[in-house]
Amino acid sequence: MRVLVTAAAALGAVLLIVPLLGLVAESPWSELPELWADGVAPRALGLSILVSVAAVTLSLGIGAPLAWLLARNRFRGRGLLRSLVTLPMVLPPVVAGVALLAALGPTGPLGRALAGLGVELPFTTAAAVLAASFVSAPLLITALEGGLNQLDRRYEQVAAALGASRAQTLLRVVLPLLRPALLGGRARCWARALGEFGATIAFAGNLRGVTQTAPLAIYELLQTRPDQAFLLGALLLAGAFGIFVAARPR
Amino acid sequence: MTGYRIFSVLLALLALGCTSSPRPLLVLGAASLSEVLREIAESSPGGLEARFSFAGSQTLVTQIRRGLRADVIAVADPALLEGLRSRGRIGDPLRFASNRIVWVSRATASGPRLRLSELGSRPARLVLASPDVPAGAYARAALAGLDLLEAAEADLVSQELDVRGVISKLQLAGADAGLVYATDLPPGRYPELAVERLPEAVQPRIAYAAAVVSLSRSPADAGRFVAQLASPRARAILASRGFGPP
Repeated sequence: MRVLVTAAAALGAVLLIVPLLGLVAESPWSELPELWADGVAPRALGLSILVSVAAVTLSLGIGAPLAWLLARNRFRGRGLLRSLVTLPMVLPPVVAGVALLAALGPTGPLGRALAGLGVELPFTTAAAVLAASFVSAPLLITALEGGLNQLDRRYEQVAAALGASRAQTLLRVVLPLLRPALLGGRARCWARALGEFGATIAFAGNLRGVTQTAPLAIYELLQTRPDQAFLLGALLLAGAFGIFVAARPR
Repeated sequence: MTGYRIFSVLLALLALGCTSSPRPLLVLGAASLSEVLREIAESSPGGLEARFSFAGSQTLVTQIRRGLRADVIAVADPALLEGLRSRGRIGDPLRFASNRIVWVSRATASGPRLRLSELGSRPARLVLASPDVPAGAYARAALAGLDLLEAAEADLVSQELDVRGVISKLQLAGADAGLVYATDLPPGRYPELAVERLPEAVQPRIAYAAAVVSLSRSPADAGRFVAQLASPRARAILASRGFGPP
């Protein structure tokens, strides 16, 4: 039995890791100075970090209250709401972009309201952040809701009985207990935002320095310099790996 | 008083910043045009500044249909622009370039490279773009014209989402031959791949077209950008990348 488990685990590791090593090995590293010098790659990587971090922040801001609402309240339509807010996860990416265009584009209901305020979202960095949040926030919400559901509420009752205020209970008891769910959800949310392509190109466009994140720059490079596209892919991978290691819970 | 003065100077600078430098045009272009459109814009003598957003033609058309504010749209299928024009979203499209489908093959461990005329008479692993994308539809039309479609379907090992996928399968996955756009194989980029032209009679007409977007804030400049695509200078750049005349 133990041999079987080990063998399956080894197979899984090989399956997941070998393609990544292949990408790194196949990339023409000698072209790195050239790729870096024309400015497209560094700008795209920088924008990727900015957009993905902003998307995680936004997802936390809107996702944490939603997860709380879903986990701690019984109300009509709760199951429906839960299904609806996690749905963007399963949308094919370009469809997610078209959905955003339909809602937030100039002809959409939210877009018209924004236009009244003089705001045009498409082709801005804000649109790229929204596109990334739209597809990645559900990952954070499901992780947080799961964490909240597994929390033993007696800890909170004890804290309250000992005289802690609701804010104290939240900060000193609930959040520390939620930490694993929060960190796991945040990592998944961030990874999804970093790799986002379809919703971004459809809703925010593919403008260098504005909405052209690394995946979009790879798409454009593939048309003309496929070797450098692989190289940028390997750089994105290396960057993500570095951040994962640095942000690993200790 | 000083605060007021600084404020008015800032306001004047802001106004100057808004008027003195014209906004660069926003050009939505088909991904296959990325290199050539940038080159044409950079060599433009009129000082037309442009920024580009490259995506699939279908995505660009969706963006214009949804009312996104851009100045120029340039796509790989003029039929797509007709729909936008009839809805008043764009002006009259200008056809400015053409492309052709070519047979591409490589020598493999199993033998020398497969010639188009040998399709069906020798075992081969063939790769085409999916019939749902223009490149795949064009390839099938050409093969049908040569009476080779059945032989091709029998040898087909993969259908790709785009021409890029066909080339990858040839480069990395051991496929023997495929059909791609001529512009995807600039001389020298893929030394291991050999290119064969199709007979003129079965070569599908593949055109590229551009138009001014009706919502453009600078329609005159957008019009100049579209018009320059037909200039001798642009023609020369397009030809150097393998595009034909319209």
